This record gives sequence, C-alpha cells and structure tokens, in this order.
Amino acid sequence: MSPIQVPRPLTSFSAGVMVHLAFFSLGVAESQRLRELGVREGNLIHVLKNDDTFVCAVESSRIALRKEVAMNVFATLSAV
Amino acid sequence: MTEVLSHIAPRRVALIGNPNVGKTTVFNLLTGLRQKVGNYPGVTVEKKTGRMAGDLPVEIIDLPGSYSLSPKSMDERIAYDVLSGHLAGEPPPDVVVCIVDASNLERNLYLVSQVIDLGIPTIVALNMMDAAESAGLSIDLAVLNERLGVPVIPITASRNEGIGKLKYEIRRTDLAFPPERAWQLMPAVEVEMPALIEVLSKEAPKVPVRQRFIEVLQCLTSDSMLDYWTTWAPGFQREVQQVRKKLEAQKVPFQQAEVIGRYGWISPLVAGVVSRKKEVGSASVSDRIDRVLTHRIFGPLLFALLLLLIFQAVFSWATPAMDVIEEGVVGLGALIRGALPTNMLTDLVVDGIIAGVGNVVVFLPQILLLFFFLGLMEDTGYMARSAFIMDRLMSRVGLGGGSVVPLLSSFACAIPGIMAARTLANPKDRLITIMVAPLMSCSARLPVYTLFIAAFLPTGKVLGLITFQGLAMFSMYLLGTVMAFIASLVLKKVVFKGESSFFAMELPPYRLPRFKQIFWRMIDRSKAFVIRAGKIIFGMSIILWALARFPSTDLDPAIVSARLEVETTYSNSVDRLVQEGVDPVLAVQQTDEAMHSDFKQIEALEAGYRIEHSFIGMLGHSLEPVMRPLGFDWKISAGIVSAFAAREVIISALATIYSVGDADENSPLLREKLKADTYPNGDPVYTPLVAVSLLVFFVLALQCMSTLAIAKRETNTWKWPAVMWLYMTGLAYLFSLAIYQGGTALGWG
Repeated sequence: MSPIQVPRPLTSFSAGVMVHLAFFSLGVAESQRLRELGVREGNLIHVLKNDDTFVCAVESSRIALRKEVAMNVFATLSAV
Repeated sequence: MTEVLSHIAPRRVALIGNPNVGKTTVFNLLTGLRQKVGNYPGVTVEKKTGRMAGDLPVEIIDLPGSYSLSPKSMDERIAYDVLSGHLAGEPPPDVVVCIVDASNLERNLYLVSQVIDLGIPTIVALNMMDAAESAGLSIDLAVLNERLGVPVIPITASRNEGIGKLKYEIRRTDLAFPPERAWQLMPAVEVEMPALIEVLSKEAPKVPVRQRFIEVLQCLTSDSMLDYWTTWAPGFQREVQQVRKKLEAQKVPFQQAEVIGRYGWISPLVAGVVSRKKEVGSASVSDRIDRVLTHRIFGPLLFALLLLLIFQAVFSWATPAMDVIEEGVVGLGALIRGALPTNMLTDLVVDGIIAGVGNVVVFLPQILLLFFFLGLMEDTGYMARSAFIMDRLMSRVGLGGGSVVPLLSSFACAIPGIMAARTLANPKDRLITIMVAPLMSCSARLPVYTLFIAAFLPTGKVLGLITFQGLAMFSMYLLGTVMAFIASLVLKKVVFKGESSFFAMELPPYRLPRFKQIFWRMIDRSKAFVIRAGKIIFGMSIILWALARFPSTDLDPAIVSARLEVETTYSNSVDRLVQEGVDPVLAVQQTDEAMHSDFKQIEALEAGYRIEHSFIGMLGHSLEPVMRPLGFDWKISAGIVSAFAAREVIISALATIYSVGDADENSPLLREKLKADTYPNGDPVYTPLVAVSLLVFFVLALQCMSTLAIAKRETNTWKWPAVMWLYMTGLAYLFSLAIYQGGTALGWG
C-alpha cells in the first residue's frame, strides 16, 4: 500500500509528470476561473513546462499559469 | 418535451462557445459576407451579426467567446446578458448554437449545461471532429445526443464539413425546448433555491420560468449579477444576501456549488460517451512548436524579432501609403481651391473639411497593417503565447503580458495601439494599457524631435561612438517608455488597487492562418475607426480650422504696402518685357518664375500675421504667462495649441508664425529663424534648454485629438480621455518646468 501523499504546489513538480489536482489556495474568483478552464480539483494534469513559467495539459487543452498562481495550486503525484 | 416552436418570423440564433473552438469560422460559414459589425449598446464589446441565406430569414449573432455564463469579463457578461435578455434592445435569441471543441468535451459541456438551463432551444455543434480523431478520441454521438437532450451535430468547420446539417437544424421550426435540469446542487444550497426562485418570480414575473433557476444561481455567486436586480427586484436582492450570510455561517462552500454540481453530472456523462485510443500525455505538434516558441531564451528573442517586424511595418511600410494619402488630400485641396472662388467657404472646404477627412484617412494604412499582423498572431494561436512570454516582465509594472503588443504598436501610433488593447480580457488591464499607451513616443513626435534636436543640440559624439543628437533622440523614446511603465504601476497601485496578480490562460493549438478571415477582420476594425473615431477627429479638425481662421483681421499696413510693392514690381516687369518685344504670355511666365519667392514671402508674412491675430494666436498670447516658466513664448504656446490637431502640426504652425511658408522639420530656414528669434531685451527665445524643455513637453503631453477620440470610443466615456489628458499634460508641465527652472538655476539657460 502506497503512503498517503501530501499535496504540494504545482511548481514543485518537474515537467513531464502527471499530477492529480488537490486544492487551490487562491481567491474565490481566481479558483473559479481555473475550474472553468478545466483546472479543477481531482483532475489529472500533465506538467509540460516548469521553469520561469508554468504550462500544463488538461485533456487536450494547454493552460499557462503565472508562476505565482501555480504556486497556489496544490496537487499530488499521479501513478498514471 | 412537448412544447414545440412554431416560428415563421425571422429567428435570432446566437452562437456561443469557449474561446478558440472555431466559433468565428462557423459564423463565417453560416453567414458568408452578409455580416455587420457594431457594438452592444453602452459597452465596447463588438457585436457581430449576419444573415443566413435561405427561405426562412435567420439572423446569426456571434457572441464573445466565454468559458462559462458566470461572467468574469465584459465579454462574458455580454454573452450572458444577450442570452438572458438583460440587455436593453436585445431580445433573447430563439435558438442557441453551442460550438463545442470535440477534443475537449468535458470543459466545453460546462457552458453547454448552463445554456441548456436557460431553457432556450439549443443545438450543440461538435466542432474539430478531425482534431478529436487525431487525438485518438472516439465520441458516441447517439448517446451524447440522448444524455444532453438536444441535437448534437458533428462538424469540422475548417473543412466546411457538417455545416449543411447544422443549417438544417437551425432552420427547423419544430426544434424542441431543452430538457429540465439533470444535475443537482449540493443539498445545503439546493434547499434554498425554491424560496429564492419564488421571491424572484413575484418581483420580476417577466423572467421566463425556465430561466429563473440560473438567474438565482448567478446572484448567489456573483456580486455584479446581484447588482443587476437592485432596481428590478430589491426584495429578491435582500433575500439572496441573507441566504449568502446563512450559508457562510454554516461554512457551506456555496460559491463552488455550481461547479461541483455541474461537473458531477458532466464527468460521468463524458466518461460514458468518450473512449480514448491514445495515451494521455503524448506531445502534440503544438507542444513541440511551443518547446521553441515559449522557450525561456528563444521565446522572448523570437517575439522581439516579430515585434521588430511589426514595428517596422507599421512605422515604415505604411509611410508610402500615408504619403500618397497626404499628397492626395493636398492635391484635392489645391484642385478645389483652384475651382472655387477665394472666400471663407472655400477655406472651410479645403482647410477644414478636406483636411479633416485627411486627418482620419491618413491613419488607415497603419491601422490596416497593424490589424493584419494582430489577426495573423490571433489566427495562428501565437497571440496567447506572446502574452504568456511577456507576462513575467509586464507583471512587474502592474500589467499583464497581453499589454505588450498594444504598447509597442503605440510607438508607431497610439490609435492602433489603443485599438489593439481590445485583445486584453481583463478590463482593468485594458483600461490601464489605454491610459498609458499615448506615452510611448509615436511617429508624429518624430518630426518635432528632429527639428529641435537638429537645431539646438550639439553635433559631437559620446565616446566617439554615438552622436549627442542620436542619444537625445533615444532618450526621448526611453523617457516615454519609462513614464508609461511608472504610470501603469501608479494606476495599478492607486486607481485599481487591491487587484491581485492573476494570469491563467489557454494556449490554443497552432493553426494555419485563414487570410480571408484576417482580411475581413482588418476591414471591420478599419471601418469602426473611420466611422466612429473619424467623426470626432473630423469635428475637431473643423474647430481647430475655425480657431486658426477667425477672427478675420485687416492686415498690418506695412504688409499691405509690401504686397502692393511686389505687385507693382510684377506689373512693371511684365510691361518692360513686353516693351522689349517679348511675347506677353512668355513675359508673364518669366516674371512669375522670377518673382515666385517674393510672392511666397509676402504670403508667408500675411499668414503669419493672420495666425498671430487668430483665436489660436490669442490663445498663445494668453497662455504665455503660464508657459513662460517652461521657457515658451507666445509663438511656441500657439504652436502647442495648433499641435492639438496632430503633434507634427507644430512644425507647420511655427513655419507660418515665423513666415517661412512651406517648411518641414528638415528646413534649414526654419531652424535659422528659430535660432535668430529674440525677446525685446535681446535674449534668445530658443536656447538648448528651451529645446530640451519643449522636447520633454512633447514626449509627455497628450497633444493629439485623434488619440482622445479613439480613447473615448474604446472606453465609451469622456471620463478616461479627460483623465488621460489631464495627467499627461500635468506630467508634461511639471517635467518641463523642472527642466527649465533647474537648468536656468544651474546656469544652463
């Protein structure tokens, strides 16, 4: 049985990994916007770029996040 | 679902969809060239409508791209207001067509589920079926159709596939109303809904029964939506506020209730209809292109190269066409002046009306070129990348990455720059960008810089490499840019304070540009400029003409006698030549050539006298006490007033005042006249310090009525253009004052 993972900010995952979104530490409006873009709790997300900027894939969409925004989105590493 | 539509009258069909789902392509395919572009009443959001050909007249409304009907931007608010009938003069549509990206079904169905809840007959156009297939997705259309309860039409708009079937569905008069809501809110919120719906239906009975649920839900989660009911249903508003307080006290996350509820229905639905043949996470072509175009080093470099190209195009490639327009306007003016008698009406037609039209049309080449490049960037998907690449840098000055293109375009001209700010989704970022764009040194400032730098600044080199004059020119551009950044930072911190820094946007897949679409967008935007901003620019041109033309004054006796003397010399010369046996026609020609400069000189003297005694001259004189601390006399002040038509007009105004006649920024005669001018006590009017003060004034002042006109057009109010004019003029005055007074105190005067 794998140990329970503690959610970490998206910026702590390297490019190429798949993560499960856990929760947002953002304002209501900002969180709502992310959800509308498909970045929502429980979703499987593919981290495409994580250097000075952050890009992830949600299904076939590519979502770019300001680093400060990505730092406030928490996720766990996916086994997929 | 027994209710059936029985429309025969023209029906209104709204197209809605997430951004980048090919909505505009579908709109173009449905309407062809039968399109109209306007604005929604009271806002600057573009309203695109078109007619679909066929027996049954159908009006298609292309709504702005929206991720949801819970409005976050002006565009999304308009989409909701049109669908719900909140917008005055805009009845709700009879049918809604939701354009959906088949390769991203789950997210797109969120908006579809909101539209269905409005109770308007809905058709789902499942676009980009080809992209879904390439991504290894297979969609069970029959099951999707059944679960949604509305017709689902598979289309690939880029290949014109499925559009015939979509047209058929749109024309169907027996299109059914969508089914009742199939999803549930969290119980703590769901339980509050019936009572709130009841209050709303009592206070606003005109709201259609099916629409009431979504109206209540919007008000529960959005303050701006709740504000709408302040006048229409104040009791309902109070009730919603009480329910909000109650849910907050119970720690119910009611603001997430809609997202959780809808996705709770959508996710299993999608899982049941979509099967995936490819693995999640495989890199697409766009991902591979992005590895280069959004690379931390190559990305900004390539973007800088692209900007250089755009800048060069707007700055230089437009010049020949602008020259042709300017020459055409001058030529037409001369032609009409030659054909009409010399009187005030002719002056009005030539110097007021024709020059006014010229002031509008002359910007068209720049606007067309800029919108061509912007269209290309938007159509290929690169626009989103450019905003993303520059976001980090721009966030430091209080703006987002999307402001880069409008600000850089403003180096050519603030008008296309301000218009380009339309691409910004955040209304506050857009407003700040509009407010600071005129600080970027536009091409109209260049002649002013050229004249004063060449006339008054030394010609030596710094470290033997860069000329002082080149450095001065660069400093002017740098000062404008730095001030624009400072102004945006101040606006963000003071005027729009409290706004958190947020940037999250979708990067659409790269696509080949559709030049026909880009062409029509260029035409639409240019039409909008000529018709709306043009009216204001034209009107202001006439006012400035009147200020320079009136009051009519008698010429100074010395000038009258000088003209008489020249005319007498002319007659005597012709007579003498005729007496010497020269053919009379030849005699007139020879004398014309010999005395051309004498007549020009007299005309220049007369024009100089007239402008000194015109309202503009009077304004110059009356402004002199205010402008003297900056080092400006009445002539410079009058030049500044005239330059309100367009900055470069100060050159011709000074040439007129100094009786130089036709002169441009490179005219040695004008430079000499400026250098030689003195005050009655013998002090020179122009010193290098005055030149620097004037240059800085022109960098910072908003000396351009066209910019004010377009800012009014884009912000839909005179408030922001007025604030813009005041803060820029204030900045210009303070900086010039500090430079002139500081320089004088240091003995540099």
